[in-house]
Amino acid sequence: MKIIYHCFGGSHSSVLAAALHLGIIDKNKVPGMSEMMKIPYFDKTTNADFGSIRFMGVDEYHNDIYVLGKKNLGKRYANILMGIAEILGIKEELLTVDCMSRVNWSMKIGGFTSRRMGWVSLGRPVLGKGTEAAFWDLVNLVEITRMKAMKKVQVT
Amino acid sequence: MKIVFLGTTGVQHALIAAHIYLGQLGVEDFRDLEYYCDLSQESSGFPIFIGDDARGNQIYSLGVGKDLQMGQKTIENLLTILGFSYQDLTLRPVSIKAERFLACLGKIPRYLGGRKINLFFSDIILRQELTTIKENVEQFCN
Repeated sequence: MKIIYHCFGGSHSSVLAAALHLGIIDKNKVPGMSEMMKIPYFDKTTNADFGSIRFMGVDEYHNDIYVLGKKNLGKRYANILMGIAEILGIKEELLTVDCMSRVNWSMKIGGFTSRRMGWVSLGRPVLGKGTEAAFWDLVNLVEITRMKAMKKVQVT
Repeated sequence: MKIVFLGTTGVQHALIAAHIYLGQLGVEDFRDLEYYCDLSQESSGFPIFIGDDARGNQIYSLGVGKDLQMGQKTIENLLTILGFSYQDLTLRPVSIKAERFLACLGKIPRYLGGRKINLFFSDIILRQELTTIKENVEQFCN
């Protein structure tokens, strides 16, 4: 199965969720900024990366994990992806996960300042605080996703 | 094979392009077309099945929002990771001048007369852009 975590920029919440899913970072401990910066793609994307589905790794159940930045296109974007999978007859092989519901204002402001404005030294600390605050929500989202993936595999 | 006509919305210029491709646009009253300016269908985000062409290909219309290029890139990426190619699903982007405006029209709430405003401006814009839409379709056919 392919699991795509998506958020506004595909740079913070989706990348962190994918890293949690893959066990790149410990789900039992809030990571520091230096630890988060070691995650591939974390706070490193550019405008050219919008819309690109980027591979993050393979989980223990052989699911391929990806991240995607979709700007402010909301839940509809997930439906577009699922719709395409449906007309190809492989809806059960795809799971899309919207991370935006777990994103707080500090993450939005910090992420915007760091990525869009390019003021990394200003945005990154704000982003770090926001990510720390959202960490357990993201852990929860990943756990739900893992359950959904297992159920989907059992159904098919 | 599936052929998906891609626009900023799937219920305006992309829908008309799909009907032109199938030779189903006899009269130029777009309001007779099923799903024309249908906001509930558009908000669902799912591809709209229009019909089969003479070669047995399934023709769809799909809206991807204000950024058409980004939508196209994502779907092309998705096809690759799912193990499909352009021979299984071909994207045919339909681009017109006022495409972003058309996408914004759909955001006007119903209680502010959104549906009527959408239909009114869509009729005018799409009638003016019909030649461009036809040229888009002809390019794909050649």
